[in-house]
Amino acid sequence: MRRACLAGAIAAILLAGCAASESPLVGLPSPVPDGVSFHEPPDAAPPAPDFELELVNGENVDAASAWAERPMVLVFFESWCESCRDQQQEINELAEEYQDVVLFLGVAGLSSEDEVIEYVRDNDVVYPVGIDADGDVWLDYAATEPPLVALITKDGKIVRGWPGGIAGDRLREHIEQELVKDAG
Amino acid sequence: MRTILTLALSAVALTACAVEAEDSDEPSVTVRLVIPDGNIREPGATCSGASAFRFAHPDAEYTLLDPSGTAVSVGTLPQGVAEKAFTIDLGDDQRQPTTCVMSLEVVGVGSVDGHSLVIADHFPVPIRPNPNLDDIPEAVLS
Repeated sequence: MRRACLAGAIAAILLAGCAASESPLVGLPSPVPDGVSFHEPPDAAPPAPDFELELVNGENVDAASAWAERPMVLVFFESWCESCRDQQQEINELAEEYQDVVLFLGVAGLSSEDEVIEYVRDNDVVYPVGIDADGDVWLDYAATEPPLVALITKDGKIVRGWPGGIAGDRLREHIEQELVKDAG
Repeated sequence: MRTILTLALSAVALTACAVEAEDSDEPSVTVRLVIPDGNIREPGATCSGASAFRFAHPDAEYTLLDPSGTAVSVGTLPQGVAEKAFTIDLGDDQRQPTTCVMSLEVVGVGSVDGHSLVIADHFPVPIRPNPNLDDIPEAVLS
């Protein structure tokens, strides 16, 4: 009986381990649902720097194409960043709330692909993530230290940036006030 | 079965105690690593090197070199804590220019006089006593 229980427990652990290692990495969102509308950016808002980024799941993001469909929340992070981990759960909740309406996009810099994937799985990141290995995107957005969160309107105007990050209700308020008029 | 388990746990506990006792006999020294990035943060916030110092981040590998240039210890950088960059009072809670300071506990080395610190593949940085902080050994990136 004891041996059977032990074998069962080991099998369960192994299965859980396999399931965790095979969980798919999140890719790009589906089309924007009907009934969604977005805020117009202020006239003075500058254009966001355009970029392309390869995601850790192998897909590519073209920022301008993404902005043509929906706003974006850019989340600059690194695998070793404690503040990023502290804010991650609340950002995940918002990304789920605005799934297919706003593109949340994680941008790592110096972290390796293995470190980023480990971070994504450890912190249940629910949005696509890529690595800006040459640092161009970090430089263009003046991201000097993780975390940094930037808001970009539909059609590509940058309206907010928070060195040190932002999450929870404060971020939700800004999404409501500056990006999404009606989430459908 | 229970006896075997008890013995095994005892062995693990004894081994852990032995390792701890061995560790406590080793000399160690704390080195302040100062990253003068001037980044805007709240003093006391956790930090990593910013801008041109992004290579100096938690988990980055460091090597301690003795005066002859021989590696005597290796480790990884810990989280840093932001300290005010200026002594003028800009308010306690305001984000302001800071340096990122990491405290390295170097085990197995009793003194770091004349030593230097290498982070990743960057140039060695000399470790010198800081007279303003009771001569604590300090390496300032540049």
